[in-house]
Amino acid sequence: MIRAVYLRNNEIPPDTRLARIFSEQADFVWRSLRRLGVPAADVDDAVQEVFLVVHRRISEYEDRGLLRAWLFSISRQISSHYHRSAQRSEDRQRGLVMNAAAPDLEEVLARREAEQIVNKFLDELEEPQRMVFYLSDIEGMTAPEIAAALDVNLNTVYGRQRQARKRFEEVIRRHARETGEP
Amino acid sequence: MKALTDRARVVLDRYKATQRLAEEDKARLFDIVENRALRGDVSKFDVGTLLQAPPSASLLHRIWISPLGKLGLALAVIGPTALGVYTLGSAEARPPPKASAGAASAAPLPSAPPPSSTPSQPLPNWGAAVSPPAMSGSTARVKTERAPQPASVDEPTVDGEVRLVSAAQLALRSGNAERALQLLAEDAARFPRGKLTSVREVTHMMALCKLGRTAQARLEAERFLAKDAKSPFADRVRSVCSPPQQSQ
Repeated sequence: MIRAVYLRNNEIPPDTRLARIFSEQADFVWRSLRRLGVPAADVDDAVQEVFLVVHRRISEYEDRGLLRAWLFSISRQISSHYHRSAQRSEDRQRGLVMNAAAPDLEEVLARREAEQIVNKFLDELEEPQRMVFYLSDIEGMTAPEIAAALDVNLNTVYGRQRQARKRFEEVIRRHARETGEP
Repeated sequence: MKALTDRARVVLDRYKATQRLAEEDKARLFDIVENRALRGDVSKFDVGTLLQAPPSASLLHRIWISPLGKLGLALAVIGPTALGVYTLGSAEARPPPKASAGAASAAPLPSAPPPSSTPSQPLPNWGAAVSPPAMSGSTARVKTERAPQPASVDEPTVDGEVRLVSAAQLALRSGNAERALQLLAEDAARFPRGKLTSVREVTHMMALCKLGRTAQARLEAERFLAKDAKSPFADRVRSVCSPPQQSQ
């Protein structure tokens, strides 16, 4: 028989799995939602929706070794319900100041510059390559994980990754030339 | 596959360091999510099938997709946690959580992370078998030290930790606080620097309350808050051992 008791927040032990996944993956989900076009103003809301789904459906995921691919596929479905926005510059300005915790001024500036370079690069990349590059080279996911997350085959992932990397290297080289770095 | 040059890698690491939730936003969001989950909220959006065809079906996965295997594994592996959570989640008569949905619409203000994570916010290495370290902000990388551990340590993953803490929570929910304390002590001994230390500590305080050891619980609460005042569990810890509202 179920006790009829008003449970208060301070009596409920934290949900171990949800807490763990959230603490480890909230940044990833947040970034993915942004990258999937959820407007900055809606992204907190979308993060909540993703983790409510996680909470409900964690048993479907169990131990498949593809946590981030799974989270990404939830994020992708959730993001489709939000009005898509390009990550325009005014959006970006808000998120990105990290001077408080950055080690020194030089690093702050370097990050600022990196932000501009990468955002511009991603904006100019075609969608399929953009997602693969984002997941592989920014999030560090493996090709099989990406294939699962995007539901495309492995060779497609490799092909897009190769092209995107080549273009990124060009951007980096050009930038180095322009700024006179060795 | 040709790897990126170091120069390109550095730029990407720096970029990533700018793309994170601020710790306080993260804590606030978790608070909201957890409250909504406990209240039994479901997402307002339909989400269909997820990850139809994983590229490498492990043995576990093959068992998983078989009709009986799913039930068996679900009971064996996640039973305790899910059971507890959903039982609680379905308890309807609960006051609304203090975090309002309005707070959620506030825009995030990500900033660079502090150089080291709080104990409750470990870097990801779950599923490390398939992925390189995820949070690779060049300055934000945290080395996980391997703590000297007792000889009985036999599970290298956090799953052992999850099992112990979940079992402790289940014991606590079913009214056996003594057993919960035993399990938590075992967890503390085996995973002294585990990924779930905050969860363990909060559960420990609750078990102490249940046993009437209020003074000790409050002492632990004080220490917890001194260490990590911004923890997602901070509110809960602050009000530890306050009397429950009974009904009926």
